[in-house]
Amino acid sequence: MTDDGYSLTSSIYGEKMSLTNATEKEIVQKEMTINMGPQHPATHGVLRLVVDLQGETVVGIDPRPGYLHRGIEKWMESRTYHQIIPITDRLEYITCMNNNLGWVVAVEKLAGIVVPERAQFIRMLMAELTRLSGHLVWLGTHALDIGAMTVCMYTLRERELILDLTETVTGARQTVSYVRIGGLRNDVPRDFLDKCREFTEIFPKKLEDYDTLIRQNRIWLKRTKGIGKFSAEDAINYGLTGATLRGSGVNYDLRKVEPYAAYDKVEFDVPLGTEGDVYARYIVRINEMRQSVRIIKQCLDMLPEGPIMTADPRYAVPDKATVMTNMEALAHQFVLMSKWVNMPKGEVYVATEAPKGELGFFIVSDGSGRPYRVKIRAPSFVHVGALPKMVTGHMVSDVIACIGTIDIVLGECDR
Amino acid sequence: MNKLTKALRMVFMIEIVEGMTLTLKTMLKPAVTRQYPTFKRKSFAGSRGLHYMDRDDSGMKERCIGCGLCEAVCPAKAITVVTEKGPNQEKVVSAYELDLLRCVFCGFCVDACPVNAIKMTPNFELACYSRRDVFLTKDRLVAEGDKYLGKKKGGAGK
Ligand code: SF4
Ligand code: SF4
Repeated sequence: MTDDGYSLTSSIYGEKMSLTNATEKEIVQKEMTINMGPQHPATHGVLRLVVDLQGETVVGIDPRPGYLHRGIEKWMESRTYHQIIPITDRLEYITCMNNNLGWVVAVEKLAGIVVPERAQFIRMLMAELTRLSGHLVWLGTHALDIGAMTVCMYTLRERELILDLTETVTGARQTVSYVRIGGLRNDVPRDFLDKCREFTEIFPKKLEDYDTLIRQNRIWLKRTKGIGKFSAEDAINYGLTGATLRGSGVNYDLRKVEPYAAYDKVEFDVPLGTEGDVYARYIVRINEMRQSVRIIKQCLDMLPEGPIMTADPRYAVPDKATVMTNMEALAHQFVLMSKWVNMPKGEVYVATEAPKGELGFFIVSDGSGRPYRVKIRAPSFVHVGALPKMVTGHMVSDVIACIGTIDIVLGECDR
Repeated sequence: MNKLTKALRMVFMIEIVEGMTLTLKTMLKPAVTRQYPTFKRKSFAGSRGLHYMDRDDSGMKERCIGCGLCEAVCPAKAITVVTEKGPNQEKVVSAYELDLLRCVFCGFCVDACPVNAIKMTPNFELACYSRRDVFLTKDRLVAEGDKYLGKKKGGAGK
C-alpha cells in the first residue's frame, strides 16, 4: 500500500479475500490505512488525516493540510498594506479581530507609528471579546466532537451576545476589518460600553454553567484525561504556542512577554496546566476566558478619552469631515486609499497572541506601498504538526479529541 | 473534597444530575432562538450590508463624481467606474458597476469615498436566483438608496 490513502479500496478487498482463512487475531494485527477527512464533521474544516490503524489503535497519523489553500501570502504581495486588512480576516475566520490586530501591529512596527491610547484600549477590548468568542466556539465544538452536545448550544448562545456587541462597533459579525493602520475605523458607539459591562456581568455565570455540564462529568473526564499528552519540553520543541503550550505548564503568553496594544497596562494572570493533556488544556482555556473578562472589565474602567487615529500625518487616515473640507486631507486620502504611502525599507517580524496561539507576520518591505513578501506564522499549521505525536498509541476516537484540543482553524493553517 | 464525598458523588452520579438539572432549567426558560424568516432581529445602525448610492444635492442624479477611489481601494476588485467627458467638458460617470458576488463587505469603499456617495445599508438578505440580480449598476444603486431612505424617485436628495 502506498502511503497515500487512495489505495484504501484495494486493501479492503485484499483483506476480504483472505478473511475466510484468517483468524481474528491476524485481522487485528493487520495494519489498515484510512482517510479521515477532508470532508469530516470533526476535522474543523478540511483537514485530511491519513490514519494507520491496528485494530482500533492508531499507530501512525499523517496530516495533509492544504485543501483550503488560497495563496493568501502571495495575494498580499499585490495589495497595499491597507487592503490587506480584510484579507487577514480570512485567515482565522472565527477570531478576525485578532488577525487584523496582528497585521496592523506588525505594520505599525515597520513604520514606527505611535497609536493613541484610546485606540489601543479599544483594540485590546475588542481583541479580548473576540478571544472569548473564539474560545466559545472551541469549547462548543470540542465538547460536541466528544459527545456533549448541550455545551455547544450554550456556548453559541453566549457567542451571539459577543457577535452582537461586535456588530454594533464594527458593522459586521465576523469579518470585521475594524482595526486600521495607526488606529481604528471608528470609535465605539455610546451605548456599547454599557452593553459590554452588562455582558461582563452575565458571562462569568455562564462559564459556571459550562463547568456544571462537563467539568466533572465522568464521560468527559474519561475522554480527556491522559489523552494527547505533551510534556513541556516536547511542547516547546514542537513549537506549540497559546493555550496548547500553556496546558503543558510553560508560562509563555505574548501578551505578557512582548506586550502589544495596552496589555502592559492591565492586570491579568496566565493560566497554566500541569498535565499537558486534553483536560489540562480545557481547563487552561476556560480560565483564560475568566481572565479575558477581567481584562475587558479593566478596559471599560480605564478607557481614556482622546483620538482613535494616530497623529502621524503621514499614515493617519483623515476622517470624513476633514476630507470634505480640507484640500490637503483630500489629497492625502487619495494617496492612502489608492496606493498607500511608501513604507520604510526593511524586515519585521511581529507576533501577537491570537486565541489559537502565536500569530506572527513577517513582512519584507521594499519601500513601496505594497509588501514585497509576507510570511504568516499560523499557530494552527504548527499545531497540526503536533498531531502525530499526540495521537499515536491512542484509540481512533481520541483523534477527534486531539484535533479539538489543538484548536485549529484550517483557513489559517492552509492560508 | 475528601474521599467520602467523592465516593458519594461517584455513586449517585451527582455531577450528571447537576448537569441534567441545568438542562431542565434551561428548557423551561423562554427560547433565545429566533425563527428567522418569520421573526427578524432589529438591524444595527452601522451594519455593513447592501450598498447604495446617494443622490446629489439636486436630487436628480447620483452623488458620485467618478474619482475612482472606491475602485482603487476595493480589495476584492468588485467596483468598476467608467467616466467620460460630458457636453460641457465636465466629468460624467457613464457607468458604475458593483459586483456583489466579488464584494467582501469590508466597507473600504464607503470609508474611501471623498463625497460620501457610496454607502451601505444594514440589509444582509441578498439571496437571489440569478447572478444578474446582484450585479449592481448605477441606476440600481441609486434605486436601492431611494428604497432604503424611503424617498420617491427624483425626490429631493440630501
Ligand atoms: S465593501 Fe469592500 S469589497 Fe465590497 S465593494 Fe466596497 S471596497 Fe469592495
Ligand atoms: S463612489 Fe465615491 S469614491 Fe467611488 S468613484 Fe464615486 S465619488 Fe469616487
